[in-house]
Amino acid sequence: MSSYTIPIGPLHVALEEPIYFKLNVEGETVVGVDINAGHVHRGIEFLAMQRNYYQVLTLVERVCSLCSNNHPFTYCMAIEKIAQIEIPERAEYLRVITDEIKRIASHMFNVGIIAHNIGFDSFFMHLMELREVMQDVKESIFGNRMNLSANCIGGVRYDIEQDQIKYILRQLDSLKKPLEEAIKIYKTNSSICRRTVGVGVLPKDKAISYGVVGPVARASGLDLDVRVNTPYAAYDKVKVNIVTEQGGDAHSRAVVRLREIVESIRIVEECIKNLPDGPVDLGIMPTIPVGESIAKSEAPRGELIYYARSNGSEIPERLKWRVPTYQNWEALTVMMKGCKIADVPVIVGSIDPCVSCTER
Amino acid sequence: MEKDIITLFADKLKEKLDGKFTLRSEVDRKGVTCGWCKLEDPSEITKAAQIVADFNGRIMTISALISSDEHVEISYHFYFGNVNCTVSITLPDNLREVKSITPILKSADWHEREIKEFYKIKLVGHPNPRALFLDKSIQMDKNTMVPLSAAMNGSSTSTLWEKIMKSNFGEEKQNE
Repeated sequence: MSSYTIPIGPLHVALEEPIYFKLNVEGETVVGVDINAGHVHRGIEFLAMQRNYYQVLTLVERVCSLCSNNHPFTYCMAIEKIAQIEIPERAEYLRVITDEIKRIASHMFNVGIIAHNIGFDSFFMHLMELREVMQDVKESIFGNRMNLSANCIGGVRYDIEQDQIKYILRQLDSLKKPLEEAIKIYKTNSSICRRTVGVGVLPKDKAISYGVVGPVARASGLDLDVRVNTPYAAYDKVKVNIVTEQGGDAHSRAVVRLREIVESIRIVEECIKNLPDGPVDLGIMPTIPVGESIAKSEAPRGELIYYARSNGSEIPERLKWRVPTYQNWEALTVMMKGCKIADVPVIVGSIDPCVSCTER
Repeated sequence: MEKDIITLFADKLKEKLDGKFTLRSEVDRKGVTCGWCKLEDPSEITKAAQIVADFNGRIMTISALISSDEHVEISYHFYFGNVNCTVSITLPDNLREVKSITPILKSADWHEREIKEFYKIKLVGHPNPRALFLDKSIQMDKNTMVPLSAAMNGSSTSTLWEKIMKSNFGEEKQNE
């Protein structure tokens, strides 16, 4: 059997963003993978160290669009830790609500894309239409479909009134039944199962050694969830059930995301029910003293970590973040080994890769 | 319970390390523990990594920092037993070289390659120390680049495959 080298990307019909895979194939079977990034590297980390703490907030929101809330959220927590600020309780709950709304929309997008990758376009359209329910929530509450600008150092920049609460609950309610059906389709539809079950398997031991995070880790049976393991914001008061699957394949990863949507809806409802009264921010712009800190949050794709170091000036001395996808790329080499070329887009899509996060 | 893990980590460091170290920990109001450790001898980072590996831990990220007096400081952010623990080393003057921990903790692979590329820090013992993002050594040439237009054609015709066959054939010829 002849062996070939096949390029996928950096610009390719099956990829949303530019990344390059060099596949070594024998016949139709992939025997080796080489990943090459750097096509849209923007140097945001360097830029962040040229601006003051308040300007950086706007900048980090633009690292990525799908997890655009988690970047400022985690950044604020890191800076608040250095400044030893306690934010109002209502702000903590509002941060969780924003985060879960973004998670629902992000997961919907990914499971939709998987359906598209396997050629089930009517289902893709259906899931994207469902996602519009959350996009409408974002647009109505925050005034924008992607960058919500919800966070500020010391709290949040939005508040919800009684009629907005009613609207959010109504929208979430309207998601529940179609979502139940979508999960049923994902679990039982023979076209989906044929293309995803047993495809791109990441065994549990490899998941541990490659240090994968988020739904990729949870689909391989690891109970890793920052919200539970190292709670932040209101997650110490709100119950979060970690969703895990044991298959470790593309199918398990999609099912984890779908089940997490159900969980996120419940979390938003619980937050709204227990939403305390009070201010939503500190009303001051605190100065940041000398210090260093680590803050983490569970972004839709997994653990996001921010490391900040201040020398007492207005500009951060060091700001470093690691996005969840960054940790998951290498695991693709395990998932792709032995798969067919046609499975490559499904496997890549199944880790919900975020190139714009990687290329910060 | 979590406090115990940090104490355990300190005990292990005392046992395995020859050089001095400092370790402090703080617990935030959500009960999350952060450990901050500094090693005097930078070459002992591999020993610290081995302890983390023994704890079934992983690395979350690595941050390099060039201080105002041109010293290179590298912070390894580890995670084990629900504790975030940062271990920092400062490289000696005029030596931008550090032992790789990737053979011990596979999860450090991309992080080490990133500090190598962006801070010009040489990695000793890294299994695949190629640059990741912007370095000239990884720039692609016309043999590897396929324009999107060609790829789009390739999705419905044989254009893409012909191009690949041609490029592979070209490589074989070069090898001869």
